[in-house]
Amino acid sequence: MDEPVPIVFVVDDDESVRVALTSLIRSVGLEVEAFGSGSEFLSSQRPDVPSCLVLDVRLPGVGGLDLQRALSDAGEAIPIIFITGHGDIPMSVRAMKAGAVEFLPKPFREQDLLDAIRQAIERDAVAREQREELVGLRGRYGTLTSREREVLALIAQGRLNKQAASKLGISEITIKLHRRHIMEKMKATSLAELARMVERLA
Amino acid sequence: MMRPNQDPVSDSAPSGSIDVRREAEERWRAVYENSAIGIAVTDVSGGFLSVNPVLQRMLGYTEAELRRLSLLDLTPTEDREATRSRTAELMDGRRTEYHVERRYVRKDGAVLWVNTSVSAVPGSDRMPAMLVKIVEDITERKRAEVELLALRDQLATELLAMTRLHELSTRLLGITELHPLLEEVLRAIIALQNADFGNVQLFNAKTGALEIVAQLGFQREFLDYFGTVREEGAACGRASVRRERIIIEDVETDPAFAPHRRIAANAGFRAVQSTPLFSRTGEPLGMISTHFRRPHRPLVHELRLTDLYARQAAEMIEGKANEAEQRKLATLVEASFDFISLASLEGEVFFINPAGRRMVGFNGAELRGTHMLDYVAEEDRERIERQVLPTVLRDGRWEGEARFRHFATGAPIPMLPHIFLMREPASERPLALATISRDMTERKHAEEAMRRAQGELAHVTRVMSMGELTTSIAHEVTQPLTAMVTNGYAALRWLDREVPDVGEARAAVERIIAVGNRASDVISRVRAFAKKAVPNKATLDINEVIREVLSLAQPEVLARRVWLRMELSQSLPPVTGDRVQLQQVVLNLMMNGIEAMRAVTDRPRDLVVKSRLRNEEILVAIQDSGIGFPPETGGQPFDAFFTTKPEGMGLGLTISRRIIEAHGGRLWATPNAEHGASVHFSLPTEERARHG
Repeated sequence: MDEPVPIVFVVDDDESVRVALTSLIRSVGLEVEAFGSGSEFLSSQRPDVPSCLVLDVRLPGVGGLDLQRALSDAGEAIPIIFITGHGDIPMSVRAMKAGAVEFLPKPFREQDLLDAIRQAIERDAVAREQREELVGLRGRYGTLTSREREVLALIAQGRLNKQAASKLGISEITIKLHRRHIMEKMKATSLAELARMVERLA
Repeated sequence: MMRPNQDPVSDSAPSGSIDVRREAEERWRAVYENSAIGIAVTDVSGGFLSVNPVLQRMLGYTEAELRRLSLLDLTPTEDREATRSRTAELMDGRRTEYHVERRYVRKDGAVLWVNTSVSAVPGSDRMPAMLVKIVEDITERKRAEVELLALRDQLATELLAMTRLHELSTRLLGITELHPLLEEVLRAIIALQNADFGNVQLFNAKTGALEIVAQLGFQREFLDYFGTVREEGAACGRASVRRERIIIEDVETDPAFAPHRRIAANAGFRAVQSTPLFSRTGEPLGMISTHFRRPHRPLVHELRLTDLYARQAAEMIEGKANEAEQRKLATLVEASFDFISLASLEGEVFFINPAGRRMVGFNGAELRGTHMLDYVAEEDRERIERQVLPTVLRDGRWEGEARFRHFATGAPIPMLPHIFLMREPASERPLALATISRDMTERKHAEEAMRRAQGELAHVTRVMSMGELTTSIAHEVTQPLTAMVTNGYAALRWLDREVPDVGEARAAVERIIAVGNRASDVISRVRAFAKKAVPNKATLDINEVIREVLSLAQPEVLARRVWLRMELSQSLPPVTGDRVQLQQVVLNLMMNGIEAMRAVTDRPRDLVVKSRLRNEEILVAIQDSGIGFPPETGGQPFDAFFTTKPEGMGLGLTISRRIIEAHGGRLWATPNAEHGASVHFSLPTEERARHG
């Protein structure tokens, strides 16, 4: 089974840097797509594979940090590695706080960059997985009836069947029945897992 | 036979009828009584026999009184001898008559001048029996004669005095010091008035007092007492205050002089006169006083002459003061560091001060025969002759730059002469052409030094913006470096693969070289920027500069398939600037424009270069139809950090702007209405740069 090939997006207005980076990243077996500006990147169709973004801070038009914010506003969580020709500390702090994976001054050591890329791809892959999971989870939760959700809420808190029954004004049996349905629908294998799911959903 | 009433006079008259005789007698009596002249008949010894009324009136005696007198009684003592001898001549027949002017003494003792005609009347024996005198009063005439003589004497005296005054003046010309001069004048006045002593005082403007500067005949006591006078009582003080001559005929009787009587007595004078001296403009200069041992009042004509002498003294005093002034001015001219010269209205030079001679290296003793134009460098002579000198003669002055000529080396000397018309003070009549000039060489040196300093300053400023620049350089250099290093890594990685991809590796290495070369271009551009380039200012035609650049840019234009259009205004005024630097700017902007259109494929790549004149500024615009600047960037194109161009030419714009600003212009960019952007720069015209 083929793992989807991760892709690295490179955004830098300097062509020579773009080309060099593209060559380097491809040489380690990753896909690269390069853009000359933030807006170009934003308006591009991105394939649904683990990816990361190697981004110069200073860009014409939409600057690096702006892009970062724009992406996070749009709910896109693609990990960002900043590269910059200026060793600007306040900027780097801002970038990191806003969730960047790494902030590398140019010229960078290839190891630093490649490590960061790998890390970023990892993170993205993980994040994707988690997102997928969550989507699945949400989907499954969606199949619960309202009563089931009530029950789920209580048992996730650790309430005993008896307590839950009395709380909801239904019999213990009914509670047990709901419980079985919930576990099936949610595809949980243990109560602990169910509890985790509920946390995730919250 | 005896006739009744026979008059002895008519005894011998051979008359006819008695009536005729009576008529004759009556006629005679009428004449005798009514004549306007005096008639007298005397006997031969001069005793009056009959005297007509006129003569009686003349003499002041009645006839009866006169009959008791003789001629000699009426004759002044000193004249009697002459009278006797005249009468004797008549008597002894030497004469028959005489006419003479003589004096009579009237009854009241007054002297009468008369003109008499005396004739003898013979008796029967043919000997004089009587004398008839015709007397004419000439007293008035005589008085007039005497007066005339007196006047003539007076004139003679005055003439003598004037001659003496003239001699005095001539003599005084030889004396240069003021005090001996004044003493001479004093001496002359004392002699003129027959005074006993005198003094001359000068008015001290600072203290407002009169101070004795020359005196004749006074003792210490007087000098100490009257040495400095400020007050009213003394004659000179009074004269000073009243600004007119004061005469004190007798100090003993003059009340105001009372406080000074003792001094006067000790000094030995009883009378004094003080004549004030004034300058031409009425300023008090001093006083001349003469003193007399006895009470005295100088005669009017003496005072009149005194005034003449006083005027002379005043002129001398004024003259000395002026001389001092003049000497000061002359010293100023001699010692001045400026070139000062005088020439006739036709331009013939007759004076140059020492500094001026030094400046132009003129060591010839003889100025005569030189003309103003000889001192001017050849290239400026025509302008001076045709424009400047006529301006001076017409307007009275001219100031401007002109190159003089150094007589020894022939080198031009930049000067800033001020040429003006010297006029006679009273009549404003033009007298001469004066030139005062400053050597501009110093100033030019100073200007040069300042320009160098400005260049240094600009350099330092440039260096100071190294802060900006360093960051910008860092960026400009890190990009290629990053690219080079990254390409290097890539090359190695391609080669380290299980199956090395030599193609990729090679490509990477080639990229290293290419980027490296571009980077060194940037470095040399930066070096040029940091170099102390003092702009070479020359007069340039901006269109020419643009055209020269076009030939440099031609290959790129063709290669990039750019449509190049020129919209250059004809006959633009020149600008002052560094040709190479301005070419750099134009080339840079054109390259940027071409670069901006690199990605354009859907429309023509239009590059338009425009030049025009607006308000003493040359405006040049390079317009492209490229991607332009995104609206948000605004002024960012010139932010040294900012590079929109793939090749990293952001630094070029900063340098271009600095060059333009160093030329006194501005550089800015505007977006085009349709596509692309225009970069503009302005340069002041040479005219504006010179006067602006």
